[in-house]
Amino acid sequence: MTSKVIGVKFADLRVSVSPHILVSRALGSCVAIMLYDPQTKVGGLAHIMLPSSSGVRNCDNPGKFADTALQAMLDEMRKRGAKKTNCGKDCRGSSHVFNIW
Amino acid sequence: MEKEIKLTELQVDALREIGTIGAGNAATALSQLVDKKILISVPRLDIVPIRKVPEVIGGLETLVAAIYIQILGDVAGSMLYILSKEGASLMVSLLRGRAGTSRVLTETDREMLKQAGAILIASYLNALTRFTGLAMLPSPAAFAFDMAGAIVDSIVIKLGLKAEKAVLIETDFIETSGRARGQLFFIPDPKSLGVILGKIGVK
Repeated sequence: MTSKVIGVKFADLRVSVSPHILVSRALGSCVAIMLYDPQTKVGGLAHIMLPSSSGVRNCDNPGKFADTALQAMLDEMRKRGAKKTNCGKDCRGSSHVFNIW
Repeated sequence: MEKEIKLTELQVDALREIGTIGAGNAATALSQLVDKKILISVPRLDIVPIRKVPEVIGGLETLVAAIYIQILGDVAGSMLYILSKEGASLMVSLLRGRAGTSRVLTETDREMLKQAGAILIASYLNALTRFTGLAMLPSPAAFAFDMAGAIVDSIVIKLGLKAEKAVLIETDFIETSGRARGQLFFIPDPKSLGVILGKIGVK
């Protein structure tokens, strides 16, 4: 199987399996959450913008928030056979882009 | 979920007129600032979904200089002024009054770009205010030199995901030593865009 690079844009999440590559470019102040199950080689990447969906009336896109994205990503990974307890995890991003704020 | 905004021909013309007046004001301001003759090209006007803004700028990972100002008053929103790397160094050499030799932006360069950008944005804002009769005040400016994707990311977070569309006014500033493309993105709150378009439609 040839490896494919899958771009994950902001407020989006993707799940795939090795040898494919998930990539989030130019994170800025967003955060990328990564989960990977080495046994099944199933990985997920979410490019989230905000920490929590609580208080948001119509959350039409789970990829926007940390809580909803994590849940959606785990669900999708489980469908592909991954186990939560096997998963390694990492987060990157959250930079201070503008000179004020 | 995304509603298509259909502009009438009159509104497009009016927005282009505002863009032209704004760009004219901006060129005059810049010309006075650097004491040189500065010409502008006819502005290109477009309405783009915020997601597409990095593409319009030139790609997610393209390095650009960005000046960001929030708009307060009758209309809420923000304005983002984007200069390409080359545009930024041209602007810096114009402001410094000599050709740039350094390839990196110094702290002083950044501060100058921020202030010049704030003046340019205020020129556009002024045109918009005059045309619509709505009160709009600029906040202090913020500056970033980063990847287009990172800049848009940070702004979308700041806006709390409310805004969906940006009005793009693209103008080239032409000076003897070169030309710089300036892209102004006006990002009104969804409600404010309606208010502005309403004001424009009437006239």
